[in-house]
Amino acid sequence: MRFPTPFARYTAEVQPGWIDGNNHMNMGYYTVLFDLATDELWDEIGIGRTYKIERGCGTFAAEGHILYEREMLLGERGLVHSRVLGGDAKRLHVAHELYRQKDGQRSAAQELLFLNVNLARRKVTPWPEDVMAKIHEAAAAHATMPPLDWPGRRIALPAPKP
Amino acid sequence: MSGFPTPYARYEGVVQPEWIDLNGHMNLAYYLVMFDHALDAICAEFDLDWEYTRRTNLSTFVVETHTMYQQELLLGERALVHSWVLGVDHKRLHIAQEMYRLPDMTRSACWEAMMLHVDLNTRKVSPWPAAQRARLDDAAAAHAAVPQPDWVGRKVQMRR
Repeated sequence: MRFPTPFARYTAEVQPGWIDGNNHMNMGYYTVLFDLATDELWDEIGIGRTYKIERGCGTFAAEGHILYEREMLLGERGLVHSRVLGGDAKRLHVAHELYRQKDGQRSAAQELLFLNVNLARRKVTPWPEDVMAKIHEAAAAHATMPPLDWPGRRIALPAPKP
Repeated sequence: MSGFPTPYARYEGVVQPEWIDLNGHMNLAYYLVMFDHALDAICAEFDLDWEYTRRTNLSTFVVETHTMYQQELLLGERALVHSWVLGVDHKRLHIAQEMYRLPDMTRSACWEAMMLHVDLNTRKVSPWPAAQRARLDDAAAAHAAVPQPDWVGRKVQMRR
């Protein structure tokens, strides 16, 4: 079966513990939400809970970038679209986009770089062959979609207007 | 000469049980929660804390962040956060923070953020009030006078 394009299996609901003094979802909890979407994607690729138990490996995030675009309020729901942007022998680059259910608008986007780690030795190690094949399958499927225009951003204060 | 601390380092956090994931370490999301607590500490120096929001109905929203995860943090471990003001304009604040595990001061993570000043009545961006802007400029000047983090401005990519 073809890898879903995009992969969109996680619907979030903003929890009371995620709200801050601005009465919206705090910026830290967008990462909690996106990590739950990562869990769903990992199960499809075969690197979820079972992978940890049976193969003694896990994924560690090395780097992440988030764009916060629209507020999410208490109880609001959002669907996460996920894509595999690329992978190599021991790394995996993914992108998530959170779309609000109430208006379909994108609320936030996150890209992440993960490493495959041997959990006993806490060392980076190559993906098993079957996982590598699945990553390539997902990346190939997602490469057929219109490209995202936001990954690879750097943070910078814009030059003052003349 | 500004007396603002370089870096600002008044926040210490402890890794909580609910922050631990299946890998037996602090989950990636809670680095941002800790960095946010450290942000609250430095923002209080600028009179931009939650008391300011209650008093004025003005606040700050984070619009973009970049995080580098460098070392694991385990349950109960303590960390100290260094905060830097990289830049300020009439409505924006560019911040960098570094998280150091205590007591050995191994760097666990780096985080960079762009923040906007917002009027909560309209949920629109609004200029800093003069008093807050003066404090931000004072901190930015102090931090511009010393060596700053050299890792800022990164993008996520698979380097060879």
